[in-house]
Amino acid sequence: MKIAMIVNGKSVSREVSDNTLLVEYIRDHLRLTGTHVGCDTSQCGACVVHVDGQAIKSCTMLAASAEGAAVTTVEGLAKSKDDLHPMQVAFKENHGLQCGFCTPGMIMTATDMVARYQAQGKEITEDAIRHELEGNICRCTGYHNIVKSIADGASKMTTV
Amino acid sequence: MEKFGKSQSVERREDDRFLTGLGQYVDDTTPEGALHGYVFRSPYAHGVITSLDVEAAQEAEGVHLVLTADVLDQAGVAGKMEASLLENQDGKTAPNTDRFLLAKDKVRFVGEPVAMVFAESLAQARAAVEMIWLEIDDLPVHMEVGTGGTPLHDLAPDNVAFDWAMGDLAEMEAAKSEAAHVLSFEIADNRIICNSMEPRGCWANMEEGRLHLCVNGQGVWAQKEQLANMFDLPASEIRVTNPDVGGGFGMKAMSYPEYFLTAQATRMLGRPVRWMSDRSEAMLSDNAGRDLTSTATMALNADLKIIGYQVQTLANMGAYSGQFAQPIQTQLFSKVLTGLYDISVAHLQVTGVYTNTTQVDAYRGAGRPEAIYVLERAMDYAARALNVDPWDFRRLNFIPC
Repeated sequence: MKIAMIVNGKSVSREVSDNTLLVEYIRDHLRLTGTHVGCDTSQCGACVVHVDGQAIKSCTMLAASAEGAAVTTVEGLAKSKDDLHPMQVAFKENHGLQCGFCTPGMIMTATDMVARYQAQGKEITEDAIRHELEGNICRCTGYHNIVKSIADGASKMTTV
Repeated sequence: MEKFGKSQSVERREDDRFLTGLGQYVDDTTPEGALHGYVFRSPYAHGVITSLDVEAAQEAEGVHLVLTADVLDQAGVAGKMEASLLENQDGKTAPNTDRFLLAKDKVRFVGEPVAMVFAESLAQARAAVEMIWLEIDDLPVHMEVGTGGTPLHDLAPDNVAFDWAMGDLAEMEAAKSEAAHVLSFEIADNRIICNSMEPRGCWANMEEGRLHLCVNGQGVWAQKEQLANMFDLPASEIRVTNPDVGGGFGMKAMSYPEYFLTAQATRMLGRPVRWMSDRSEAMLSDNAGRDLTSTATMALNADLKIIGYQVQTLANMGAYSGQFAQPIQTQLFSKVLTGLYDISVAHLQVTGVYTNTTQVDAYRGAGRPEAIYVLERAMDYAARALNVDPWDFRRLNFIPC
């Protein structure tokens, strides 16, 4: 079947089998390989992307369910190579990554989290960040620097 | 001001790529048109193979190749994996038990590779794997970390992989006999699964007649040498690369059957092939870590100075001796056996045992964290048994400076 959507602001369309997962559509058909597969079971969060402004695990959504949606992947966050998103800068400055495999999912979860809290006028505390990260697993950092990165990134993001 | 001098944070060169989705992990770099591999793994812990039927899988849509132990034999690949073997206490080399790329005659743990299918798509490879039919005669399983039980290997009748020792046992016995206190503690160090965020994976391709294996490993030279030995090829005809790796932790340092099988498939088919472990396969097939039980014995004089320290360990190898497995709880463990303490008499004896579980090999520190764990638990237990403050007890026994 033909599935069309808007990915990182561009209209795309691909002929794929009806059981294609969104992550397969993104990685194998569009060859955007920043979105990772870590667990196949929606536990690790390496595959998080935004669909119509909401963070979702793309290993657990059919591409067909995203027909017509606006999808943002980690490749779509920075304005250019030299103008990174504030959350990307914060991860870099706070050593919020080591091997980098979980990082795209962490950043997509983080930007979604901050946007939601700011829209609701709520303060994003360390406790809130830790709670919100329950769906993203990292094996290198021990999370402290990821939490620091997100707090730093939040202070530099204006989404409202 | 420009940063200058020591103790300042630096930004990492690779971060911009990782942060913008431009990392190049193994499954991001696969050649166009590569076939997908999927492994048929033993659902049984122990048994004699009576039949393996792969005919339906071979006929399945999209399938180009099904590798089995027989197919490897016919292709002239002996398929025996390399292991480091210790010298036992009696001076003989530990038994050189077989570990084949694909199970031959027997299966010895749940998850052991039995066949590997290569097809146009991953879905086709998985569907074909479900058509494979394996029948076995059950054998009793040996799960406890101890000797005895139904032998896994003919060459290791009591499931003893090795019996290794270091130190002077007579001196140790003398220290015990003249000690004011002799204390013994059993200290278990449970098995762990590494669980790197990125599971294991590889792809292989023939490039102008030269075999290229790209694997998310922790080095290329040992892998290259093993490929050369396995396929009886000059090393100059092999190229091994490591792309960005999503966590190794020692677990990815060793070679695994899937890497050789993927390389063999590309040699037979003359086209690129790829394999990526899923999480369930990682749980079943990645080398585990730790899994040992030690008995630590301390001999102390009346002033509570340690005059002798002895460790006897049962170390689980799993079903096979892995690439570096035998030296870990033995030679590497011994490097830090007595830690920071002024102990002049020590003895370490380790028995490696085979069980019907996934192989155990190097993980994070490999033997040395295990030795320190045993020692520091023993220091705490001894202090408690002697009714002294554990810090005072440690201070008393530190190597003086």
